[in-house]
Amino acid sequence: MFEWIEKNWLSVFVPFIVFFSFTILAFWLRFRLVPSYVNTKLKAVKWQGKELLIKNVTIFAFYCILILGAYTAIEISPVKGSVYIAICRLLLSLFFLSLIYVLHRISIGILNLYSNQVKRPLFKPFQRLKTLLTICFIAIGLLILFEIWHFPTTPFFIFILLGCTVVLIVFKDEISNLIAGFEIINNEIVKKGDYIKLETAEEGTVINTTWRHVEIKTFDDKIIFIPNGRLIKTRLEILRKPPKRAKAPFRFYTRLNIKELTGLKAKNLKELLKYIKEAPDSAIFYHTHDFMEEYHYLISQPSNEFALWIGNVLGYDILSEKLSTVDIFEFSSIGEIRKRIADIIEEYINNYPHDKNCEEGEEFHFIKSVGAVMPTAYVAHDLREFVQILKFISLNSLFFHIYEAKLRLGKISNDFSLWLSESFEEKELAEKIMSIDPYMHTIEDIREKLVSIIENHLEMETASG
Amino acid sequence: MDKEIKSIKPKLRDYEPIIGKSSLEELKTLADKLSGKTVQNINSTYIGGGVAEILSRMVPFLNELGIDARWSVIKGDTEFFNITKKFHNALHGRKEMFTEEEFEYFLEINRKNAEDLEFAEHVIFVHDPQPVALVKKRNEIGEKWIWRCHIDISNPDKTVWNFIKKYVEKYDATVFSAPNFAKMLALRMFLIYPSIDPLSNKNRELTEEQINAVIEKYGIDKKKPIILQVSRFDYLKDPVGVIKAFEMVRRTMPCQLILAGGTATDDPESDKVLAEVQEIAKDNPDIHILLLPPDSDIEINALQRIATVVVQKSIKEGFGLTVTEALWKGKPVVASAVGGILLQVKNKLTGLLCHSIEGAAYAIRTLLTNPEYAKWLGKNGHSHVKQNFLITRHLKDYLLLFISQYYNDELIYL
Repeated sequence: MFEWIEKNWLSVFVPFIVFFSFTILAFWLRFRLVPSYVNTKLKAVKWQGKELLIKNVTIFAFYCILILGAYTAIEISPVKGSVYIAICRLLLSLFFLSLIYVLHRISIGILNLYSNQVKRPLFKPFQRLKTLLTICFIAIGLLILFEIWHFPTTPFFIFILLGCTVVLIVFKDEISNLIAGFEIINNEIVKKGDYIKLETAEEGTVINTTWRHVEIKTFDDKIIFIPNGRLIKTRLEILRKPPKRAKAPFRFYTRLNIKELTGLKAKNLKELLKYIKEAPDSAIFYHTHDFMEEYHYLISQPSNEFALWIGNVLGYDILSEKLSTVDIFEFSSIGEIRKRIADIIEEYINNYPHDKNCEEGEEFHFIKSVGAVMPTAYVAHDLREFVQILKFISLNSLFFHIYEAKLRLGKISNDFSLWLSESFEEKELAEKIMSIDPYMHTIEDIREKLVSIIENHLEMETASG
Repeated sequence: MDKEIKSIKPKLRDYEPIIGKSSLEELKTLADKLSGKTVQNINSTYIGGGVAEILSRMVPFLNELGIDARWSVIKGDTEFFNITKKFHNALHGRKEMFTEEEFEYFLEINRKNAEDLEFAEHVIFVHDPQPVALVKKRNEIGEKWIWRCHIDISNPDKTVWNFIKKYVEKYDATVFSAPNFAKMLALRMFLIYPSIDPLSNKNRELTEEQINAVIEKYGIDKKKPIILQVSRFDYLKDPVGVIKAFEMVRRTMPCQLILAGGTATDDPESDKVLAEVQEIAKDNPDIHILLLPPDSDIEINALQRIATVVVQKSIKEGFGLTVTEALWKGKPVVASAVGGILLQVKNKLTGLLCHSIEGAAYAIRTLLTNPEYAKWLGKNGHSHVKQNFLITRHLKDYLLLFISQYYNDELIYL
């Protein structure tokens, strides 16, 4: 061993010295020359990525000099044959790996630099982009290594191709959302605070836009996530201006009722008149409105059950006709309705004093409705929310706000018109709604009319800016 | 003795496509107001009869809504139930003879049950006359006692009514199924109409295969218009009158008649009526007399769905749930203007009313010759049932009934 070293000390020592020299040169370049020289030369450059670029190029140069030192040392060393080739390949591999490493660092650094300057929420997609870049660099690195070491690359390409296909299939929606998200965010198709309406019926105020979806808040405080891919394809109505807020929100109430017998039972006209005068308001309300509620789907319902009974059971057609033409819409209290009906019957009895009893079992039972009034979960703060709720709120709720509020609760108008006028100062709109005669339409018709009037109003408002 | 039913299908959410989300939400809101209250239903049987059928649905629904609802039945021997059967007939107006011992025995069984039963703390909801005397316990337990009368007691036998009345008047409230079924009492009287379950076998949608199987089973001609009456073979349902009306219609237009129903085991006249009807119909291949066993819900459903016109030409009728079922299936109905039918069929709006055989024949002919009109009536009838006679409305009424016991106002702000 010592003998061999004695004979070949020069061929071992010289390469070592050479490599050592290159190493010193590398350290000198990295820590002395570059910081002072380059900084002085590039002082005028204001680009924020300057530091990043200098730092990484310096690192790369450092690696290159080390590798070059190692290569020179091998060249002048006595190592030959297959070992030489293997070491050369190793050094070449190290060179490319360090090149890729530095390029990766620069790319990620630049991405970091610019993502911090973008105000929009790029964080999640940015993370993914970094992952994607890393994967790409690894793939390129592997390909170069395969080439240097003469490994076959076809299976690798097949593997990559299959992987990409699987990724495309599995994440096709995600990819489509990302692409659409790019378009939405860059072109500012929707912005935070916009009120949007999709043809698929979702609507609400945009509270956030991300690369994956747009978040909207609906009238009932629900958050809906609409994938960007879907949003970009659907027909979209966008109202940039936030809707006008009401002074006080409109809470929808509902009223459910149960029938209670009053114990009053008329078998002839005189008894009917007597009990009409005596019966509680709730009974008069019930017999003048029950048909509206129970037969809400029919147009031109008989206006009251007194008229029906007098015609069908007692057979007094003239009186029945007179009573059925009493327009409930004219009155603002149950007392007024009671008086009008009683007056008509009284006048008839005075003119035709002969009365007759009905058949047993066909008596007129005075029924009153006992109602439970409850708040629903639905509250409207503006007209858009209001019209949305109107579209689906129960018939009971509509009945309460339209019929019951005016007569039984003694309000001057229906609740909707009152709110529009008082909390919204939309007097014209309120009057339009007040002018709908609820006794000439089905409740569903009234719903449609209300929705149509308010939507037209909103469209006009939007058109006028 | 207590039977708590918690998981019988269908669930309330299954009704959402029928009644809508907002109506279901209203039920939940209403039920929340009864949170913490216990409701105990008491009747005389878990199986058989309309009351058991409705409770078997209603109690799970109440539980699903978060109310502690229970269902108990009273125990009694054959002698007790023979007496209550006679009570039932007498309250319907039939003349029955009673001895003092029978009244005493009735009270004795009620007393025993009152001792054995575990009563709920809040609402005790007693159904029909059999357990009516349990109310003696009122001073000891329960906040509110309600008596639900499912039968027509407008013209009862006075002896029995006076006996029952003593106990009924001790309740906080009573409930009747129709205004005409009620007796005037000095306590709150509520009105709750019966209902049908749209998801039961008798009313749910059927497949083409199920319907065709029934058509094949009974040899019905699909091409001829079908006139149908579903009811037990009873003089009060006037099956002979229906056949006569059908014959009048058939003179001018081809059609077929189906009379489908069972016989009542406690009615000796039932077999006689069936025999008479079969005799009249024997030479007419267009008349199908179908004697159906008690569990023929799907068959009845299928028959109602294939019918062109559904008839209910009763001479006297309770509420007439077969009419409700036909209306629910969107069928044009011709029915007598009696009993609860008047609550369901508003003449020329949700069906046609008749008062005679000739009137029934004319109405059937009108519908057969005017299919668009028949369709319009059927559509209205369906909407009418949807609004007023489904089990969900019944449930809402029960919830309101319990709540209203704690308020005296006509408008309760919850």
